[in-house]
Amino acid sequence: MRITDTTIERNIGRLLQWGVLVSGLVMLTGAAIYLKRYGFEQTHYRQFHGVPAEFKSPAAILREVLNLRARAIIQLGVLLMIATPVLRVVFAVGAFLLERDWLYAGISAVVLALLSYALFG
Amino acid sequence: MNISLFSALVFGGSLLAGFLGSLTGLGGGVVIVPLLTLAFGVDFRYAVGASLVSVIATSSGAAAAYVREGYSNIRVGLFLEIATSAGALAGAGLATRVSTSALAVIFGLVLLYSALSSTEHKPSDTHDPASRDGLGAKLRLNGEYPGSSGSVAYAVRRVPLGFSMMAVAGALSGLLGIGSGALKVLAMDRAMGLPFKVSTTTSNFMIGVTAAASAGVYLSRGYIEPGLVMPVMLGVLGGAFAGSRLLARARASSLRNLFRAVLLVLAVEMIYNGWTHRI
Repeated sequence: MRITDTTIERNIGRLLQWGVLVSGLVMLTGAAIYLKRYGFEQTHYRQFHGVPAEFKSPAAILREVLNLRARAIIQLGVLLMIATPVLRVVFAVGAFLLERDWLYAGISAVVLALLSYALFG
Repeated sequence: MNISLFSALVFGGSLLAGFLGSLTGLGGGVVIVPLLTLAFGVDFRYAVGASLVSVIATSSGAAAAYVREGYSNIRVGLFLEIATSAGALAGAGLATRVSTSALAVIFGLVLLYSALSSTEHKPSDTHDPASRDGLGAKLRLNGEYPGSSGSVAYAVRRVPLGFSMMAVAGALSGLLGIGSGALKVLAMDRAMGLPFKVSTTTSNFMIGVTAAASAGVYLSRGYIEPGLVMPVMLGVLGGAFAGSRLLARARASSLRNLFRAVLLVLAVEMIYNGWTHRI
């Protein structure tokens, strides 16, 4: 059982690296557009205003990406980055189900539920 | 300061933080919030949001290397992740109700702990399979790792204590935007008696999941500012990548002491600025 665990883990590890790479590239694209458009405006991070609603929820971010909004593309990179460890838990649920390890399929599902609540709750 | 110059400077600082964090094994996440708040005057909440994303990046980026070694115990990680994820949700929820000055003081104390805690293995514990805990066996948390002469079996003890410590680690992560790696290793290595190498690699897996839970809450609250995340994450990622390439060759002990000294100074600065309500 440990051996299948390691084989699965190894593939997941590689997948995570790809996730980080893709997320980084998406963010780099957004960064280039953002700096080109707003590079000479002043920063406003000293006081907390909160980010506008269109860059806060996954659905809104995806909508604004289609409008090629620079900050939405950066946020898409953020979403992809958040998704990499979530994906790892999703794979764990699947792997434990395949192993018919109901206890750990359940434990991973609880973790996944907590993560979904954080993102969509 | 205009956005281009600000991004360039923050990118440079984050690059250095990621580089030193990965070289010394102390993690770059703890430096990002002090860097942004103290040096650049960024609001604490934005700083925490940006730091969380970079913490996920370093955890996921390092995962493949750690997994290859075959030490991490995915069952222990997932089981304890129930505590850290729930803790992270609570911590991120609490972050809106606590003043940033108080958060800065708490952050300083955690930095102090990170600077003083050891990342070296202390061979005081015997990981004797005979000392196994009833709960650990029931949850099938016991495992084995590849030793120099075949696989070495180990058993888990004091599961409730470890679980509780993990909830605290999660809450701190959600509150302060850090990975809480030092506390996670402490819970597994010291409290639960897992082998050190198993603790550190399993901790790396858990850090990403915990930070993802916190980051989800911060994103929906509007604490994750894209203009700030962009230079921080790209910088930390680049630095961590360079650091991991160098790691095999460098003797990092003097560097680690230097980094510890930096953490100490930052800890004092954070506590002072929080105490005097400058943050």
